[in-house]
Amino acid sequence: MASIVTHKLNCRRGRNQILKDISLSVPKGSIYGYLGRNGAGKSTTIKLLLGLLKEKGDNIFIQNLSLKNDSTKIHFITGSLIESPCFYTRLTVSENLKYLDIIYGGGKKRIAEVLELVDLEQQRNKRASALSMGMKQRLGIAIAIYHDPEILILDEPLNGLDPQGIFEMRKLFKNLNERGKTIFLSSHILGELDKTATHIGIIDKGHMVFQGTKNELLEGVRRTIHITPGRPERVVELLIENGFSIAEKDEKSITVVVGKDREFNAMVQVLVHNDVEIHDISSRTVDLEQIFMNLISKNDE
Amino acid sequence: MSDTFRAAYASEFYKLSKNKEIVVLLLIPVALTIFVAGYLYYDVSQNPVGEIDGSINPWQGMFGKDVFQFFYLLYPILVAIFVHACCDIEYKNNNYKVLFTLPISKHKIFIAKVLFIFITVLLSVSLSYFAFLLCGYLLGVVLPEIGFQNYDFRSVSFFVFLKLYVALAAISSIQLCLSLQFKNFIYPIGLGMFLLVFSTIVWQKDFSDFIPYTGSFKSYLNMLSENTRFERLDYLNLCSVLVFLVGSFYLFKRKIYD
Repeated sequence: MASIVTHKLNCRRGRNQILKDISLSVPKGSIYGYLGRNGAGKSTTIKLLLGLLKEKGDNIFIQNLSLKNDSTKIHFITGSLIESPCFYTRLTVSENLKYLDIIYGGGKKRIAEVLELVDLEQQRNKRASALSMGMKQRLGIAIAIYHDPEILILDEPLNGLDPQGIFEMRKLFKNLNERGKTIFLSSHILGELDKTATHIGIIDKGHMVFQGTKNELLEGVRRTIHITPGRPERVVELLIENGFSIAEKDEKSITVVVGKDREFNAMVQVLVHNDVEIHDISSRTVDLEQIFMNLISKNDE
Repeated sequence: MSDTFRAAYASEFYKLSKNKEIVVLLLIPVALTIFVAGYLYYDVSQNPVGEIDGSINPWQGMFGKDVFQFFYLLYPILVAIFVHACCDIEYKNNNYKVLFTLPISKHKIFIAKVLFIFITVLLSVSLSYFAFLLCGYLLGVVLPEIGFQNYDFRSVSFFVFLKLYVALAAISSIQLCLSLQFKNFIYPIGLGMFLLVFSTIVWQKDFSDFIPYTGSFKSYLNMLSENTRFERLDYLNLCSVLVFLVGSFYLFKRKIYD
């Protein structure tokens, strides 16, 4: 079952088509990493999901509720942080949460619980305007999770956090996810999404270029194998004969592009059967950043 | 969770009342009333007038005149600053995003905000009214030669303050419209001041009744002439409240998409 579903979401600003046929499907209980370059349309998507842009909203469904008809209910089951943390600067940290308490209930116990979760107990009586950048970000997250929403929609939640803060946020997201919360987060810190996300959506120039599990994304990507053989010319001939594509070659080494594990295995078989002398063979680990760059460069073409 | 008006009002009240500076702002007229009474006491003690012949009502001719000379200029400006501060709290940090992702209907949030503004202004005018009466009674005790105790001015001053409040409610609605339209405080405050000065200049013209800011200046004249009647200006001010609140709601809803 999907927590967030959009059908061919479009958004136009003047002559610019910001989003084109975005069909999201965010599975329940997943951590969905939404990736894209600056200006790709990530924040626009998030604003549309929350009803903050003037679109019909009849093709956006959250927990099977239509944004068009049930926006109040949807806002109750979602917590959000959009672009930058929003809070009242003249109020203290705990007063910001007390303000939410008047709306959602929960009492002092919930305020203390949330402050502990985001590690802001020491700053509870500090004016929000006096907080550091990282602490402001935490307060923004505290506001988003205060009412224990089923779905969290977070736009660049790791902005301004130091490595320790990022580590703690990652722990918090995983903790919330283990409690059954669906987390939709956009970030440009690809390494972080690599560690946290279970599902990935990649958007570029308003188009969805990939959507699926992280494993599906990694599976579909070709990887590069760096070989240092005894006779490079012979190896190049052999590999070309057997249909492999050579990415690079120099006097001593060859770089081959292979697809799935099966292809890699086939290449090794060719080399072994032909009794090729190999001094070194290494596979470059493909991370999310490379995949992301590959996908968006394809889109550029 | 409660998508109730009570939750909307309580949360708005909590948030805005924490901004003590903007609430204290509306206590300035009370302080001013006390100051004028204090000055009157000082002035009369320094220059004794002897027995007054009774033809001058000190509530209207001395105290009221001086207080309302300040009020007609000060109150609209204070209201303009107060209303803008109520909007500015949402402009800072782009808090409209938080406001519009709360599970509360937009119209309830808007009505809660408007009610907070109207109630606070009413509280300020009521406190000024009570301060005015109290200072008058005290002056009657400490300076019996002036003759405050010879007049019952409660009814007249009540209507003068009521008409002032109606004018301020209309001014609040206009200022709310301006503050929702312009983020920069220069525009709403500047336009408010311009309209105040303009209405003071043209108050004798027939069309001035259509400018709610005239109500502020006319409150001064009402005090001098002991005018307690509800006139065209007051009814037009009540209509302005409705018209500008509808406009403000439209602008408020548009904030979702800013």
